[in-house]
Amino acid sequence: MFWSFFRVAFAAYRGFSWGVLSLESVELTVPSAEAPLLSGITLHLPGSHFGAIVGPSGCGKSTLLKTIAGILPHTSGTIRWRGRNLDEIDLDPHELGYVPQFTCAQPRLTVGENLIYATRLRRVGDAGVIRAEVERVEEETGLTDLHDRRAGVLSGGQLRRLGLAMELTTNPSLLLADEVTSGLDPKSEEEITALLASLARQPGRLVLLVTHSLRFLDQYDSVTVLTEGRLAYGAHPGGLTSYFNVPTPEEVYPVLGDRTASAWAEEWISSPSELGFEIEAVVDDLASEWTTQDEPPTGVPGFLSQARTWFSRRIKLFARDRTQVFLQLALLLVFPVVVTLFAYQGLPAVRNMTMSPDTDVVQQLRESLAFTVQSSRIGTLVSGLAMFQVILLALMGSNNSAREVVGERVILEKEKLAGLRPGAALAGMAAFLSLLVLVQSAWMTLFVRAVCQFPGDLGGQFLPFLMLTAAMTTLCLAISSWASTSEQASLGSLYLVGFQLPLSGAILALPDFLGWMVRPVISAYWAWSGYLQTLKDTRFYDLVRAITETPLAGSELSLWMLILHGATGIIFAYFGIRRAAWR
Amino acid sequence: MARRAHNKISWSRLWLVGITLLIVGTSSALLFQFYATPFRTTPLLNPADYFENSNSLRGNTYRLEGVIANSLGYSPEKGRLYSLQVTHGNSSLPVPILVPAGYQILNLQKGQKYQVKVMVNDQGLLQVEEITKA
Repeated sequence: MFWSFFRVAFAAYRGFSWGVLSLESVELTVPSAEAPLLSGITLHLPGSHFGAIVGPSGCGKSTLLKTIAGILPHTSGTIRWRGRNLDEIDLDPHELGYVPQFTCAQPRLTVGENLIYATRLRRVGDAGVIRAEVERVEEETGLTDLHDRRAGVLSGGQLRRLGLAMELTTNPSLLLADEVTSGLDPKSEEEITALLASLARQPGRLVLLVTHSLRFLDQYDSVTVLTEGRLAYGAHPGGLTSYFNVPTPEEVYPVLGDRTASAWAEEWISSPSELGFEIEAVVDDLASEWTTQDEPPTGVPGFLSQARTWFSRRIKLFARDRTQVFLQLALLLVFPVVVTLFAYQGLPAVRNMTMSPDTDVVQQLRESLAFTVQSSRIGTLVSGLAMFQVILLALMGSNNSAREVVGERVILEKEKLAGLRPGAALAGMAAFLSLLVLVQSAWMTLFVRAVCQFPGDLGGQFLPFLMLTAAMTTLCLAISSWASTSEQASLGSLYLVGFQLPLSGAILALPDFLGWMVRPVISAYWAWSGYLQTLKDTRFYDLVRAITETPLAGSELSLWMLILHGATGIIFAYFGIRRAAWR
Repeated sequence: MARRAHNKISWSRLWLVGITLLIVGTSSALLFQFYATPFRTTPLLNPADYFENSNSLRGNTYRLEGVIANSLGYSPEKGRLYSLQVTHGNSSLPVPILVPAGYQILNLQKGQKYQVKVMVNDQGLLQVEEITKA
């Protein structure tokens, strides 16, 4: 007894709290809402505990869970985990498992692959360790028989199990499940609830489930009832009906509307059973915590390891997405063909003017006129072919990455919460996109050059195209990382590509001041200039110069500017990926 | 300290990054422009000075920029003499340049714009030392 008392007293000293998870007067206000989303929430929950957070729609259940996870920042009050203030030292990625309402599984991967990649992103270990861990969580969540099944064909209940399994790969001591039983058939709901209850039996682990359902109250160790962001009840489910003076749990929600949220909250605060659990449970819990908390952390994998995992998963997802593969192949093959349609018989020969000063004036004028006509025709063709390639590569670049981040934002946020470094995710994406960029720019350069018989240095022509495609890809990646929706990202990327042609000055020369202002940020201009510079020793260059008033930049400067554009895209994409963007 | 899941990006830091990129971009572009100018350390020839007394400039090296106007003559031993239309200030004057016979260059054609490094030879002719398209 003395030992138990000592432990409770020590725990209280460490965190001035009774539970493994303690919330003290937590409040959350947002400028857009008049009333606080959460107000005066005080909760103390022990480990080895399965708690339900219930309440009518819009009462703040999910908000409370997200506040505990740190997704929503509470405006006042304190949240402590194992005695430490989470505002000072946050939950370690391995301590927290958060299962959101949406699925984090990739539908094109199998259950096993989803778990393997989730584990590789979160845990250090060789292939054997990872495989053993995956087998363990599959067994724990009843997914062993579904190992080779695609996540896209799983039922709702199986998907929720998979979501849970992905979180269990790090063996978290705090498992937060947000509405994971919603929308399931009764049998699946019962199974998932039972699974969560069994997971909560692990020493020191606290499982919190947000649910609207009051069907399986006997499974929970405690029930927290919220109404309009206030705590109306937080204790053993056995006392729920008597506290609200209703015959069945289902009648609790209608009763909540009989009084104001403040009135319910005040009554609960003055209730003698405020703790919500027996003190002996705390003692047992702290005893188990005492023995488990010193376990060495499994550790988050290194930067390169996470980047490699992200890259290999992205490659696999790309290969499994037939529509995406088909679209990429179509663009890759069709775009260069479209360019060559304008000069499939090769570039025309250039007729020079007579150099002799003895030529009579009429002959000189006639030659000059012919040369002007020729300049207009061939110069426009060569300049147009160069710019056409540039624009199509820019389009491919934008298509590469416009939805790369925003399309999977929720999964990215979830992975970041589980320990993924934003830089590693970016490196993985960049590695994958680099392959596309390399193939696209190389094929465009080689094909058009071969068919149209473009003269000039091959490497010199490839480099500006490579850098342009890379720059557009990274800039659209940055747009994607800052956009709220896929539509927004697509539109932003489309505008970026759309403005390249008119502002490059390749078709219509811009007024001088405008040209100086916009050219530095127009990637197409630098790629066009860089490409044309490779024709400098040919007559085609002269003809282009004869028809365009836009100055052509040198090769080195063009490449340098494209590198800067690419670097700008990467830097802003990093910040965009790093920022929290939970929806 | 903000919670890990609520990692906000500081706008001031973003601005700083943007401004740094702008400064790096502008200054590096100017440097490239400066160092990429051909024959930038060679003085520019004033055609009026040349026509006034070309002999007084013998042995000097200059740079010129102009458009090929005509071929004035050819000698297998000495090379080809071209007329280069040079704009200097508000005036435009044709200046003769001699491309030596042994000089391996591209095919000069009427209407092409070139930057040329020339040396005033013993006869007072502008002899091409280096030539590049403008």
